[in-house]
Amino acid sequence: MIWALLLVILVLIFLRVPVFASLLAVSVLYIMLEPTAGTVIVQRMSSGLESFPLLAIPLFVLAGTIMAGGGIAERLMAFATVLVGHFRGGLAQVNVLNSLMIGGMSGSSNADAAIDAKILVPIMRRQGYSNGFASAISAASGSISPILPPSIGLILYGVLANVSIGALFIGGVVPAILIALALSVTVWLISVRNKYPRVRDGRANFLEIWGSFRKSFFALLMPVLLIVGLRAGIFTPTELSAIAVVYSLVVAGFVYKQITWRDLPALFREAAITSAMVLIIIAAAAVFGIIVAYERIPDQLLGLLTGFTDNPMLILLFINLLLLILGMFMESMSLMIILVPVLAPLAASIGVDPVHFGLILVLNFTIGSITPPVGSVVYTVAAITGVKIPEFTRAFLPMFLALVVVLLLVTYIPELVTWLPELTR
Amino acid sequence: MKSPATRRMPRGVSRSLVFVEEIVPALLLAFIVVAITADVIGRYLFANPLQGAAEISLIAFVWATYLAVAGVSRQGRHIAIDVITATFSPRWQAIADIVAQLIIIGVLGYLVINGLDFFAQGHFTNLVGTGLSRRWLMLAIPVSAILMICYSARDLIVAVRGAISGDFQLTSNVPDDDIRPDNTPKEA
Repeated sequence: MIWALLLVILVLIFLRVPVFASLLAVSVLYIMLEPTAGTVIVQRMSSGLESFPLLAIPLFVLAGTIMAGGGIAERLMAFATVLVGHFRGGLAQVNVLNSLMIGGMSGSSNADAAIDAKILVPIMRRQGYSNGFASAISAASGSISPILPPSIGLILYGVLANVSIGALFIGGVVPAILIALALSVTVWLISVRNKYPRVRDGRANFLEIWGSFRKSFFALLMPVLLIVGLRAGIFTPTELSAIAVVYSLVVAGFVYKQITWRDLPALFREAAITSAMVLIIIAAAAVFGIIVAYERIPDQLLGLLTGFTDNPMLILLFINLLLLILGMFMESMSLMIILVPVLAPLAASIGVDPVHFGLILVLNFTIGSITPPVGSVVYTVAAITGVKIPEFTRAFLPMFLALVVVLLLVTYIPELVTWLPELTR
Repeated sequence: MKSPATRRMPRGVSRSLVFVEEIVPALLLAFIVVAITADVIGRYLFANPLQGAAEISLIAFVWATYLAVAGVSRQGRHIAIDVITATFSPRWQAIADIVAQLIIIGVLGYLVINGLDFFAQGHFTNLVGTGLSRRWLMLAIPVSAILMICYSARDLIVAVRGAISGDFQLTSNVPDDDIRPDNTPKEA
């Protein structure tokens, strides 16, 4: 029965029925025989959003929207150029480092990749980089944002799996640095082979670095404030999201003077609409949760997996493969909402730490979303740079391998995720 | 290029819809920021948190979300996968969209009927802090569903015309200039 329902969901989704409507349609079908089903569905649609931590989603989206429009990107790029511009393939290195820094504000791979594609790719092309390589590194470096605070994916996982959002935020720091390192090494190897230029002739001196750091200080401070605020127990994630909005308004409006009062209505409206796109799926998934519970899907899946093997390492490998493939075809928030109630209990049953599993999940979906032929970030970048998908794919392959290596490291060395949250507990 | 259904919408109606589906949610979002920030400031600076701030914010959040969802429908921005349908010819894209819109209308119609019925006759608990009945939270769902049905009906008409003429473009690809004020950013 459940497999038939899942098949129907997939068919509807691939018929371009919106994800929320696909989930609701199947849920309605499943429980329509029950006379009180209608009220149950409506109740679930309402109670699915009655969660204070979920309020953090629109507020962090708003903070990211304000920061993105507030002249932050240019300052961070200038700082990244001072730090790594002297390496071979300097602009590509800037692309990676910038994503690491801006990831602490946007929390979205699409937003990050779009910023790099808009600002850096045209400059990279003028300096002789191929469009495929410049576009691919913009997309690949976008994989850093969703595992750094204020990652919307991690907030969602925390709410759905009842895991500390603060621990998830901190747990993402080491994997994010690992991704940046892996991409940086990959970029360097490709740049040496293709003789891509440096941005600057030599290393920046201390005064240059200090000057650039001061200009981007308030932007760099935001992720630090997020982590400190959460781990010190000063704020809840939702309170922190409201503070982040106020902070970004002050920085963008009064410190950098890049937005005015007239810009605010459009920013708030865009944030409301963007959040609603995700939140309606969460509400629909709350209804779908009835099926997950009635059909005991986590138990069924666990039985299926343990039928093949009882080795947790192999089960994790299988889950990784499944998530990576699904992530290539479906939007990550939707997948998260559908799969977390199923996979989180499964992971717990084989002894995987919930914070560790959250990072594995988000990392898989993120890599999936930037992988051709159907990853959503690929199309965001392609729409901006005009790169052809085959050209993008060829250039992306080494970066994909680097990301998979990091994924395997994160999967099989849990301390990479759990060490920092335990240290700061 | 504008969709035929959008082009015919009277300006007063379209502005009212933008107000309800975009400006009200934006104002509610701003209210949430103020309420939560005031609560934090009250707690740490004056040892006196804003009573009920979390609950009022939650009510504003639910309404903001469901009203903005209708705006998402109007702009054709619901998260959907077009990997397969994008490979279809325009006529077959239109036919697939007819199927999609009929399913959406069916599901939303179900929500409207059951939502209004439950609103009128259901038993609701009160929110702890404000004492407000959850009935008023739940009302956001049928209200939003009614608005979304209107947009699905609009898209259905466009899809039927597209299936007949063989000339079809998805709503999400059509700028709705006549309902979007100049200072609003375009969708991605």
